[in-house]
Amino acid sequence: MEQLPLTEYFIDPNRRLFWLYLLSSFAISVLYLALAPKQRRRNATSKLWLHPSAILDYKYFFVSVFIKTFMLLPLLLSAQQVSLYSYELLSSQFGYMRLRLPREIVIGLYTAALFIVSDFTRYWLHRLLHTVPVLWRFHKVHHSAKVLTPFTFYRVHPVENLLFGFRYALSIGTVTGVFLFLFGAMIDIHTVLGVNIFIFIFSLLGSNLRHSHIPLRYPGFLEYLFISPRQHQIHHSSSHFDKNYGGYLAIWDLIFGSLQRSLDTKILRFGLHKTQMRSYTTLRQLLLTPFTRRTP
Amino acid sequence: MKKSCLLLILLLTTSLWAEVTNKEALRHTYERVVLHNIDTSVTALHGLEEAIRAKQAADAKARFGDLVTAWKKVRALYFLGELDPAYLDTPRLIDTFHHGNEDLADQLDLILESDDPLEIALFKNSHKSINALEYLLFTKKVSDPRVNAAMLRICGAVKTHLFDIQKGYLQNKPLFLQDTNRANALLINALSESSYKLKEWRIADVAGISDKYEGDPDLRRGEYPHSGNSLQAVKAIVSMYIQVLDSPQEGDFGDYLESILAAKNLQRIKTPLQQSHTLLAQMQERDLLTSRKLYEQLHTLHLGIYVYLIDALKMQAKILDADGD
Ligand SMILES: [Zn+2]
Ligand SMILES: [Zn+2]
Repeated sequence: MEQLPLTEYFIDPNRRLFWLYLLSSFAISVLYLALAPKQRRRNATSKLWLHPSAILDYKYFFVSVFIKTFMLLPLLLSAQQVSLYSYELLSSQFGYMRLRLPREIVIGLYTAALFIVSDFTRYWLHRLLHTVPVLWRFHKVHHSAKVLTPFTFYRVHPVENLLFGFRYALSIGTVTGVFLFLFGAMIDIHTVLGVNIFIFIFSLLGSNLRHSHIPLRYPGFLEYLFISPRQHQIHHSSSHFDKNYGGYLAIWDLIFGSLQRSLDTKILRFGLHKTQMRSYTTLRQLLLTPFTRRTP
Repeated sequence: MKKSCLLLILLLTTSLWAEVTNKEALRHTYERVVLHNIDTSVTALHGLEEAIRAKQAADAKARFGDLVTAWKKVRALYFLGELDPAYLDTPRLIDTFHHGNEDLADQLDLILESDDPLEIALFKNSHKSINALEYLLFTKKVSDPRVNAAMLRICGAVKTHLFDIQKGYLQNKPLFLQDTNRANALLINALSESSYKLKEWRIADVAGISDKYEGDPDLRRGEYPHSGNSLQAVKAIVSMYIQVLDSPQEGDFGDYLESILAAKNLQRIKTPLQQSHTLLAQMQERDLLTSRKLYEQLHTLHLGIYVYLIDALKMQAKILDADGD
């Protein structure tokens, strides 16, 4: 609506930094630090929150919002377009089809399918960002964060944003096209505050801690199913860049052999190699370094 | 703070109002379209029955056209089976288009030639369908006693089913209106299904533009090949869409869509609907053989219904924030 694009990031439940998610992450942190006093010094210090890398995150967040709003949004093919095209393709191939299931079940299936398929494509795009050299150049921007704050989530090069946007439109659009083909008007999404209920729950459960120094692990087998904050932090440590590509679900890492559980994983030095870090210290560098011919 | 409070109140009241409009639109559709059309079908059948009983061939043939017009409007928006599963198969008892009636004419010929009593001879449901009635009325003599008796028997069977449907719709009205979201879904699914079958079965297959019959147009693939009412059936279905989506009366479902849909998306339904209506007004039965333009409009209309569904999901939001790791 008529809000500044920036404030929208804190009052829109579709955003990672929605105030309620920040608040819940904060509450979880307080609880965690109450139980693990050793971690307090590391987290409650200006050394962390005013670290040059954190400050760069804040600045970059501010700038990237405008880049995205004015330059990238118009470029994206929309999920709606993809949905309609998928439906048209399916009905021209297979004629008219309608599965009869109770509406509640259809809605549950569709909501789950959106979440699962989107998480799956996110895994693969993330993995490609690490394994395809030209994509890695852009993804390095995210991994150049020396300390992790919730704002690091937005330390992503616009080219990467664009790829994620396409991925989103394709995944959501295809799933929607298939469900329209099978169930027509019966489909709807279970939402909380207008957000897919799965995304809402995971965001509330502290997805902001993924980019933080709260080493929250999940007990036992849970880390085979869901990516804990600690597991994503492990992904940010330079010796484990090739582990834990997953978003919310760990099953993709498990299936495709890139899972690293928190237990027994010690070394945690965030960021790129020292010699490379010099090229990612300013706003300008974050935006331009990926395009330079010889990326250090 | 004050401003946001006002905004909140405004949002709440508009959403309440939209809810009422939606419910009103559904109620209007149920009363002015669904119930109205089944009532008209029953009346049309009575008229036809009288004409057959009076052995007035020309009159009966004209009244058969009226029945087709009224019944197709019911059939193409049929969702009673979703409200009460007991009614799922009722329409198939009344008409057999695309439900395996390949040798209906041969079977009826045999029945007429035999001496078996009709109540035994007409043993299949398809023998007592509108399509059987069409075959007899347009290829046999109404005055022939056995033919006449057979036709009256079929009329009786069809009448029973129409009464059933009428009763079912009357009884299930509260259930339909109880859950607005589900009611919308039932209505839209009925429209999307019938618009698909309209363009593929009734237009593309006849005009030879479907994959199956590419380049081989044939009027015998129409719904009513013996009476030449296939075009009439198409017109009836399209005019039912107009009843639902673009009627002259205030408060139809199209008016509700207007309140929630982006204008350009609404036009993706209304424009092809009007175009189809205009094209149909100039067509004769034989023009079904060359109806590519009509097909294109109806295809656009069918997709337009999906554009609405996609629009209603409101999923365009926040593409760029769905990223990150
Ligand atoms: Zn990564
Ligand atoms: Zn990260």
